[in-house]
Amino acid sequence: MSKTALVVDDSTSMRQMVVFTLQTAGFETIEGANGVEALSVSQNAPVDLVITDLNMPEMDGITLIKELRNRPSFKFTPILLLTTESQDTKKQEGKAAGATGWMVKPFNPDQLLAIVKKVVK
Amino acid sequence: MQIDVSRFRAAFYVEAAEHLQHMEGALLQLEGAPRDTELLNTIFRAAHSIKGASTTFGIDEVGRFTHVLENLLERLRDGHVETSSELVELLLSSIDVIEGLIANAKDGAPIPSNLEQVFGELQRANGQTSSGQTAAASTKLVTETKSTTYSVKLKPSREFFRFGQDPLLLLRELAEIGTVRKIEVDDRALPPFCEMQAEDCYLAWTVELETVATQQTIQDVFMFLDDASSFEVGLIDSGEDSLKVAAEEQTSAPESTAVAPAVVAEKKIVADKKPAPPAPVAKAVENETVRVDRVRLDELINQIGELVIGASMVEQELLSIAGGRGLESMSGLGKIVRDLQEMSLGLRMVPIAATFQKMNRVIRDVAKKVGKQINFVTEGDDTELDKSVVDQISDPLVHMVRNSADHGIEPPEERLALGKPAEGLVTLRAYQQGGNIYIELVDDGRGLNRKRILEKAIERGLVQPEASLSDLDICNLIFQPGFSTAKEVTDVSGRGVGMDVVRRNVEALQGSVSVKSVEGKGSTITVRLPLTLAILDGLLVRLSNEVFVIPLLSVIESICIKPNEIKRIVGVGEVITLRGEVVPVLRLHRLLNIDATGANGDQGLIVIVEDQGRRLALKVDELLGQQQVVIKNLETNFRKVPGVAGATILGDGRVALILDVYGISNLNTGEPALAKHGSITEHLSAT
Repeated sequence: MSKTALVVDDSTSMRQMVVFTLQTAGFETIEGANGVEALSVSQNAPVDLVITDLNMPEMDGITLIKELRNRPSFKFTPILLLTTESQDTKKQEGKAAGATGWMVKPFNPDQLLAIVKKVVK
Repeated sequence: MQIDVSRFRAAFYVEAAEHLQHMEGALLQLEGAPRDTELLNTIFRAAHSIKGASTTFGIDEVGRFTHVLENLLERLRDGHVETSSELVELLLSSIDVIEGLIANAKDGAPIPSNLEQVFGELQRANGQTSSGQTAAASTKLVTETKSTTYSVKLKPSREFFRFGQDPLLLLRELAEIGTVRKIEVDDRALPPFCEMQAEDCYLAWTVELETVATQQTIQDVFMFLDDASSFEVGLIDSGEDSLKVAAEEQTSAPESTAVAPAVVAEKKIVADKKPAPPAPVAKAVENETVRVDRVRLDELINQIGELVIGASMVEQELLSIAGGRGLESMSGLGKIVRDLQEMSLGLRMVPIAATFQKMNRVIRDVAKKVGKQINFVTEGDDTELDKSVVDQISDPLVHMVRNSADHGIEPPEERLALGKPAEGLVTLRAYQQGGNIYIELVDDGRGLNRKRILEKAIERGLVQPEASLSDLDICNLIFQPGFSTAKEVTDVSGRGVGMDVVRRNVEALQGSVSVKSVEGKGSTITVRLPLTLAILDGLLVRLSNEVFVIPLLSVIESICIKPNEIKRIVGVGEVITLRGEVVPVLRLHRLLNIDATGANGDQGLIVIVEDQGRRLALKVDELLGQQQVVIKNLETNFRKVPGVAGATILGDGRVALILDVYGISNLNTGEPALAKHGSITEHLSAT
């Protein structure tokens, strides 16, 4: 059975790239353009991996992680945060909120899959 | 796996343009509200997104530039730098540079000439002196080729699983980078079974790993460890101390922290506990949208246009063969098709707000440059029109707005002397009336100087010295090619491209432009545009055996004349007198080179059309009716023909040419353009 990834980013191009890469690697994907959308689309879907951007309108990545971790179904789900090198403090904040790991932008599809492999069985 | 990321660039270009637009809008507001966190956040976020995506998609110049910009914005947001008008100026130039760099990546446009200068200024503003900005820092560690045995200890925290982590994955990853010689489980922390929490992690592991990989690679395995977990990497067969803790190495190699966090037994890194600014919450809930490729949308609209034509062909055929049977259901279908068409045209409608916002910047720049104070107001920003119209109206608007700021509005001293407020007012408004969109540019400046316009026109040979022109005619002279009354060419406007460019652009959109002005009080330039370029309300007329379409936008009225009503005036040509006004008569047969045998000579019908406030009488053989027609581009199917705006397919399948009134009036003074008119329709019918 294929795994499902939730991809959250307000940048359509970034989202498309992550989604495409994950699909190539055999994932099913669901998408959200911000935290609020992500919470709503993942309401009833079993999710095996979350990849979320940090800076987003409506609800940012950190808040989203906190919200997700409060849901029983997301208690052990790997969550990757997309950051940039300038946001080191954000990594800490993300980890405190319950992020499994992070991915530093810019990255290419191979790097993304390498990181994903670290956290998904 | 090879995935080509360039395929996502198209989406990036679109969103980058949006981000830049948001940035610009927020920056312009920032001048009035220098400490507005919301605005600062918007600007920062936009720059940040552009940087992230551009580097990902390999547009490195944009990434490098935006990186420096972002640093400055961060300092601005955190209050280390104050907002000043110089700073806003610099940030605005940065937007232009990014725009240029993106255009360079997208279409191969030249790299903006001020790139280095703006880049330097940004760095200075950041307090940097060196220009060595490298993107993602790559850590250099000595490569070890010979295989080494390490002892790797992993002690996960109790909450390990709740971070989405799994020790098994980490151990497997270790196994992938080398050979696991030995693995030991430390279960001393394991509580009695009755006290055990199923969701907690109590175990720790020690792995003896033989590998050629560097210590850094091993540390990278644990890059996502939470703060409460720990790991140690030590050399076993180094011959010196049997266990060399990585922590010590890391303190002497600070650059390694850039890639992997220094996660060691006792974590010394104190996370910056300063709370992040609260996530900006968008004020208005934005409409949910789906992005669709422009080409696909155009194809859809085009196909629906074909459907409309097809449906009306079926309807006409039913009329003749079935004697009306089936017509009822056909007209039902026809209605659905027309509704569908209307909806499809709505898909391409976008608000003009973005274009208006651009003008804000134009006004600001001009005012600054020429030392004027201008209050710029926009109204009707949410007026919607066809995307292609919006795209093409931008340039003419920029020109109009520049003109009115540069030539229209007086300098503050002059205004005060005239008893006007020092600050000039320029209003740009859009509204819909009937099937048209009107864009009005109103200023309270000096208005058009008729005397000077006339002098200039005579000097340029545009007007005969003895000619008597109406006030409207004089005002409209500003739309003549090569007309510019600015005493000296300024940097801002008056570079030879005049209002004639505006008129040409607007007319290319099937629109018209006119000016009203009161000397000393100000001017109003009105641009009239069709709602869409895909369909057109037309008046169908017959000339001999050919059917032509005259855009209804231009038609004032049609009248029936008696043979002796057409008079000939020397130097002007044929005219008729219409309620006291002399109107030139244009014989379309002659202009379009159509065989006039069988045409009803001086009798018959005249269609009065308007072109820039001037009236023309077009002589036709018959009025066939009014109809909405789907515009087919003549240029792409054949070639550009003067006097013809496009073609359409009529209900009976015949091709009819759509006349361009402005072009027709020009033809009147020149040679017939459609030397072989027959060949066009034949050509089009054949394709």
